[in-house]
Amino acid sequence: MHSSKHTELDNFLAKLVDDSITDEELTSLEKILDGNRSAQRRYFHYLDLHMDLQERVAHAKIHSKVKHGLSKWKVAGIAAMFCLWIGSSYFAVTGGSGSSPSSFARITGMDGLIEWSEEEGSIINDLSVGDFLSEGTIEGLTSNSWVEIELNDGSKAVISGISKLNYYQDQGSKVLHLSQGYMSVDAKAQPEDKPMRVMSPGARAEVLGTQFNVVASPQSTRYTVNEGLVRVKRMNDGSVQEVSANHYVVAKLETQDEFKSILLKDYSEQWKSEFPRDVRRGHLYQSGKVTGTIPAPKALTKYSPLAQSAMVPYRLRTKPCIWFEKGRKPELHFSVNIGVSATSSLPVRINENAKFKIRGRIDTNMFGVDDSNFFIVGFTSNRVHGGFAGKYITKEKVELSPKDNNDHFEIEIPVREFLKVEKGEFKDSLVRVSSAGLELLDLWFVTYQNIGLEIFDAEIILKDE
Amino acid sequence: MDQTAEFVRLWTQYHRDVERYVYSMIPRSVDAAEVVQVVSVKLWEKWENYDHERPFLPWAMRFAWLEILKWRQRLAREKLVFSDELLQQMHSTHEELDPVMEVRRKILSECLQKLNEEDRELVRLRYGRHGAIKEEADRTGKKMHVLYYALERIRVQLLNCIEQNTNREGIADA
Repeated sequence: MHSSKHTELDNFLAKLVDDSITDEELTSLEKILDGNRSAQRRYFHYLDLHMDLQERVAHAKIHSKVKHGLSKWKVAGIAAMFCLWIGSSYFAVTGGSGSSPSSFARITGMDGLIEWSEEEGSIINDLSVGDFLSEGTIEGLTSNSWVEIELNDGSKAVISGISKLNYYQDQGSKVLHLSQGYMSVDAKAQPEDKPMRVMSPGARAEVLGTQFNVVASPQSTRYTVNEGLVRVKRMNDGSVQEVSANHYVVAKLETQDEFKSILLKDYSEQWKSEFPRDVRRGHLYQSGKVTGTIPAPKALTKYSPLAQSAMVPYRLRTKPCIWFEKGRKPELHFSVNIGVSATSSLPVRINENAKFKIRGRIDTNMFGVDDSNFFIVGFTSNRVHGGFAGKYITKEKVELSPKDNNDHFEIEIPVREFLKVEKGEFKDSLVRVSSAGLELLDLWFVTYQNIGLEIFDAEIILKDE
Repeated sequence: MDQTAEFVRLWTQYHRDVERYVYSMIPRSVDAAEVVQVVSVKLWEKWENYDHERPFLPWAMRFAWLEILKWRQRLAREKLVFSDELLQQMHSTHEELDPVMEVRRKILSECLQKLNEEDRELVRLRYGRHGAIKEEADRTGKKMHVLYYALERIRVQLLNCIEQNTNREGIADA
C-alpha cells in the first residue's frame, strides 16, 4: 500500500504544500526523489491533489443549474488581464448548502474587467448589465473594475477595484463573503432570525438592514456603517462590536489591537507604505534577493514587520503582465500595486494640498531599454460612502546619474497633477477633475518596458509640511 | 476569430494545466505564479510563430519547461530548488504521467464524497481562505498542528482512494 510505503515522503510533501518545510527537510525530500520513479509519481500526484483541492474549493459548490443564456467560451473580443488570473492566493470559500438553484442575483451595473465563476470551475467573463446569476463568485480584475449586483430581495452589493465576492444562501440567510477588495452594501430589511451574514478576513458581521462598506485585505477588514447597525465579530478572539451609523471598526487577523467602533470623522490624510503589509502586486526584495515567502531573515523574526523592514529595507519591483482589453491592441506592461486604505488602520482621504513622496530605483543596466527613466503613477479612489470614484494617473520622468552610480530617485508629486481617466470605447481620455475628499484605495506604478523599476516606499504628505 | 481572441481562448482553457505543471516543478506558489506569468508573456510574444494545426498545450508546456530551467539557473545557489539532474528526471516523469492525471482528477470527485463531514469541512477551511485553520483552532481549542496532521491524513486517504479506483479500472501509472 502506498500509505505505508510513502509515509516519510508524504510527511515531507504535506509540509511542502503547507509551506512549513525546512531547508534540511527539503534536502531529504530531494534525496528520496532522486532516481526513484515511484516517489516522483507520488510527488506529482500529491501536488496535483493539492492544486485540485485548491481549485475545487475556489470554484465548486456553486449551485448553478440554470445557465441564463451565458455561454462558456464567448471570448471573442473579451477583456482579459492575465496578470490577475494567476498566482492569486485569495480563494473565496463557498460554503453553505440547501440553496435554491434559481437565480440569486442580477447585474445592475458594471465597468472594467469582471469575472464570474460558476459550478465546476467554469469562468465567464463576458458579463453584461441585466445578466442573471446563480450563487457564485464575482470578481473585479482590475483597479478600475466595479460591478453592482442586486440580490433577489432587493439588497444591493457593489464591489470595486481588485475584489472578490462569493455570495450564496445558507439556511435562509444571505451570505456575502468578501475575501479581498472593496464592497459597499445596501441591505434591505432581513428576517430577524435570518440576518444577512458578511464574512471577510478576520471578521464576521450580521446585518438586518443597513448601508455599509467593507474593505478587505488578506490580514484585516474594515467595516464602515453609514446607516443602521452592523454587529461585527472579530474572529481571532471572538469579541463583538455593534457598529452604528457613521462609525467604523477594523478587525485584524493576527494582532490583539483594541477592537472598537470609531466615529467616522476620524480619518487620515497622511500615510506611509509598509512592506510587506501593503504589497498587492510586485516582486518583494530584501537583502538583494527575490523571495517567495515573507522574507525576513530568521534572526530578525523576533521583531515586528516594521522593525524588520527598517533593518533590512524591502524593495518592490515591477512584474510583467499582458493586458487585453476589448477593441484594443494587447499591451505588455510592468507594474506594482500598493494597498492604501485596505491595509491602513484609518481610512485615507485625499487632501487637495497633499502630495505623494516616492523613493525608488531604476535599473539602469537593463538591456535595450529606451525611456529608461519614465513611468506612470496612478491611484484608485472610492467615494467616502462607497462606490468606485475613479482612477487617476500622471506620468513621471526622473533624472538619474548612471555615471555617478546613482540609480536611486526621490520624487514628490502634488495630488493636483493627477488626471482622472475617463473610459472610452476604444481609447481613454484624461480630464482634470479634483480627487479631493475621496478615499484612496491603492497606488500603482506602470512601465511599458522593463526598466527594472523598484519602489522603496511611498507616502502621502501635506504640502505645507 | 481574430488572433487575439484565439490566444485568449486557448490560454483561458489551458492556463491551469500550465500552472499545475509549473507548481509541481517549483513548489513555492509565489515563485510558480511568477514563472507562469512570464510563460504567458513569452507565449504572447511568440504567438505569431504558433502552428495552429498543432495542439496548444504541448507548445505552452515547452515554454514553461524553458522558463523553469531559467528560474532554476537564477536561483542555482539557493537550497530551495531541485538540482538540475533531479529537475530533468521530474520533467520526464511528468511527461509519462500526463495521460492519467485527468482521469485521477475525475476520480477525486467520488473520493471526496467518501470523506466524512468533519474532514470535508477541514478541507474547505484549509483551501478556502488564508487564516481559516488558525481561526478554527482558536474556535475549537484544538492545536494548529493537530489540524494540519488531520489534513495530511485526509490527503493520504484521498490519494489511496484514487489509487484503488484507478487500479480497479485498469488505469495505472506508467
